[in-house]
Amino acid sequence: MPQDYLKAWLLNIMSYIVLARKWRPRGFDDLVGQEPVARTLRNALASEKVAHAYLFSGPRGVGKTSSARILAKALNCEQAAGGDPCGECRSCRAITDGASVDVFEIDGASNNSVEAVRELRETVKYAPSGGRYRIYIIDEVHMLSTSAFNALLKTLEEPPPHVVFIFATTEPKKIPSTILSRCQHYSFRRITRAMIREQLEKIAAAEKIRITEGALQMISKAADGSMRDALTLLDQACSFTDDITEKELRGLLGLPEAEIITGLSRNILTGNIPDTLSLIKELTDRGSDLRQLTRELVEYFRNIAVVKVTRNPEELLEFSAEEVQGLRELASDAGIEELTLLLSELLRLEGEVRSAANPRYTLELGLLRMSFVKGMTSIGSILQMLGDSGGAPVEKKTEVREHAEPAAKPDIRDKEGIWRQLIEKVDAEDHLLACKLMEARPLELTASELAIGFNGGMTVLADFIKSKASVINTALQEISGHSLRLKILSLPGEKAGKDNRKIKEEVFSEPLVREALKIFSGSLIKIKSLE
Amino acid sequence: MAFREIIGQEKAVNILKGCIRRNRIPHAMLFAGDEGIGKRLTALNFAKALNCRGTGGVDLFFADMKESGAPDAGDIDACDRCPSCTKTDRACHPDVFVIRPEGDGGQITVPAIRRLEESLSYKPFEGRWKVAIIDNADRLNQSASNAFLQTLEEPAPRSILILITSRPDVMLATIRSRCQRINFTPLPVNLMQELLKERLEKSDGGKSTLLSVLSGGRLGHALDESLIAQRDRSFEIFRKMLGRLEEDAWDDRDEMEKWFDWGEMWLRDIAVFKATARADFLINRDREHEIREICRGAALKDILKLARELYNIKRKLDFNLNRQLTFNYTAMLLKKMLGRRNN
Repeated sequence: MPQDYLKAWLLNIMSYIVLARKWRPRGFDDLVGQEPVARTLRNALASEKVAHAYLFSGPRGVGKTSSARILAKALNCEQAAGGDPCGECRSCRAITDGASVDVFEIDGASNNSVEAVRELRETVKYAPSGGRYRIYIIDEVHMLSTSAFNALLKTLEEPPPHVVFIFATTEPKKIPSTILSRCQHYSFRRITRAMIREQLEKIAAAEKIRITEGALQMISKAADGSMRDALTLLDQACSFTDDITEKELRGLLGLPEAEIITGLSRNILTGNIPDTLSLIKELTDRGSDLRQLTRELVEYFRNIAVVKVTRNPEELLEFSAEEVQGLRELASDAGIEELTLLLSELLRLEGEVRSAANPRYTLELGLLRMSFVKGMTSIGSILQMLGDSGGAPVEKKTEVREHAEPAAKPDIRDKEGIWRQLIEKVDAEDHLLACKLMEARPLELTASELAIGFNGGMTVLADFIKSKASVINTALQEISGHSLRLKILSLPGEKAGKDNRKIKEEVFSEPLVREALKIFSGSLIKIKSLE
Repeated sequence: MAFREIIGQEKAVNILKGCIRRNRIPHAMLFAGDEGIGKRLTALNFAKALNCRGTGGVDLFFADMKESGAPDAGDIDACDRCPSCTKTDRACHPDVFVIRPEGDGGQITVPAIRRLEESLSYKPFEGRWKVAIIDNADRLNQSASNAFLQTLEEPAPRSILILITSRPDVMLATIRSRCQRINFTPLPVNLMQELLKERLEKSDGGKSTLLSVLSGGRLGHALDESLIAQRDRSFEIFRKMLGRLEEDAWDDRDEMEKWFDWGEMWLRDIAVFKATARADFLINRDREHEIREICRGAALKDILKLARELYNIKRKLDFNLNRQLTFNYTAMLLKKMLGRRNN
């Protein structure tokens, strides 16, 4: 059985390498989506115009470190042709294995002190031992301390002719301008969806991974412009299943089914609160990821908005005609103002849900809040209504329905009783007001009014009480069961006569006036009598 | 414990088993999901299964020699008996490292990461894999995160890094992109109910239902005995605020911070009841009467406005708000928004 043992031993030592590492680009040709950078570097190498310091910046997983390694290989390659490394010579292989004596790959985040930079400066002056250049690749260079950066400035400006620095970072903003001005700066771009998809397809074919077209699309979308993210996802998908389909992938990514998003969006757009809530309840009962759901919802509403304002949304959204048709149906009922409002509310909600202790409560409160947007009328339609001369403004009755609880109706006819209850009730809400009310005494109770009066000098309190009339009237309504107003009379001894305030009060008590105030949410400023 | 005893995370466990079965074990993983749903447990059991020497475990060394070829998913689990498994259980396995935030700031710092990197650079002592579990990985501070990037991308052979977090969004994108993300979801309500019924035995079904909903599918929370008591206390404070109480009713800062989470729940119930008048949507169905009572005096718009205000206060709690003032302000808001009808 020696063969079997050998096999087992091999299995044991052969550690599996993730796709993202296995498929690291080995030449400029392999770099996906960074053609401008690759071309510039290649031309520079071919015409032997090599700068002494490069800075590669861009988002995660777009090829910065890989490019740095390719560049290092190309610089030291023994048989480079037209700027590309051969990948086979001694130097190239040494760099691939990380064993080259002339290429130093330094983790800037771990060696970020001045001491580290000083040590580096010490080694800079020695000539390369094998290749043509001594190359220093500093990854995550934004983590160097300020003094470390400054210690590097002199060397970076005029290094010995055999030295090349390559910096790579995701955050070029954190790099001092004095460093930036000494480097050739290359910005790496996010990789487009189509390019990621193409590369994934290539790798899947080479690795003999069976994957459907839809799943490929989904991965390239979820990767969000990063090749490494895409490959990580692909890797995970293939360790999960043999045949990668959209359904499997949704489960893996924790994405909700498309129908759920569509259904929820429809409910939101029609303002159907009970259905929205039961959908959320159902999702929670199943243990779905509500944060992910909110994120998807934001995107869906963005898509609806895009469909609403563009003529050819297919080009913008990378969607099939069928999906666009579905979006268009949803969009047809809503105005663009409404969609924008909903979208901004959702965006805010997404942030809140992300940090919430229990996403369900936050999401539900947010969705309820969004149902108010539905009740709003756009300025356009208001203008239209105003423009229709003679046509009475049609009231838009899409307000959120509130189920008012029928108030209990204790039929209390005695004024003292009502007065006592009123004070108690007000006390629970506004202690200060209650204290003031206690100074007054009830005088008269009619079907619609409760009249009270103050003794002598306490009339100053009347103004305060009037300003709180709404609180009192609400309380009165709850006690008596019908609308009952509080009227403050002056007790004998007080100066009678219709002063301005009195008139104001009377006018204000007029139902028509109050209705007008309510509709325009205005306030009473001046009263002019019609002589 | 072994994989088979992990409850409600079949999806995640299946992915992990799949990795082992296909011998495609990624060097870096990110376990993301809410607090208290079993991420840490799964990570430890994954470590056990990887290094298990018992017959039940995956033995890559001999697996290939078996007649049947690769073991199927059902077989892959820790045996829970071999020395390797027991050592992992007792947290003294030389190849399993667990790092968690420590010190005053509750952060994971660069020295901790350096120590880990050093221990990972050696060959495994006795197991097949070195497993590093970084608990609460969102507490990696800025420099530690960056110092970790290179190791995370290309660690020493035969090492596996497992990052655990309940807040993946606050971590650096560069960290996230280097890990295979495995999502953990809250437990389905009916599963929780069954589990709780078993554990609570004597208590009634109503309690288990309430607990499973209250905990939001987080078993760790649901098993907390005091959850219902906490909820009751929060409601008591909520109602005190609506009354005339001026004195701060929170015992300490911690309670204050928690109260705002509870407050959100109560407002959610009140708002939902106001909008639909349906008791079956409520979380706290046993408090329907009180909720109905509060609903009567308030407009939906105000309730929602209040919810947002509370959210704003909650976010400012980190800035060391005065407790008494916060209480008074919140109570005032509550009275103002919930105390009036349609105004």
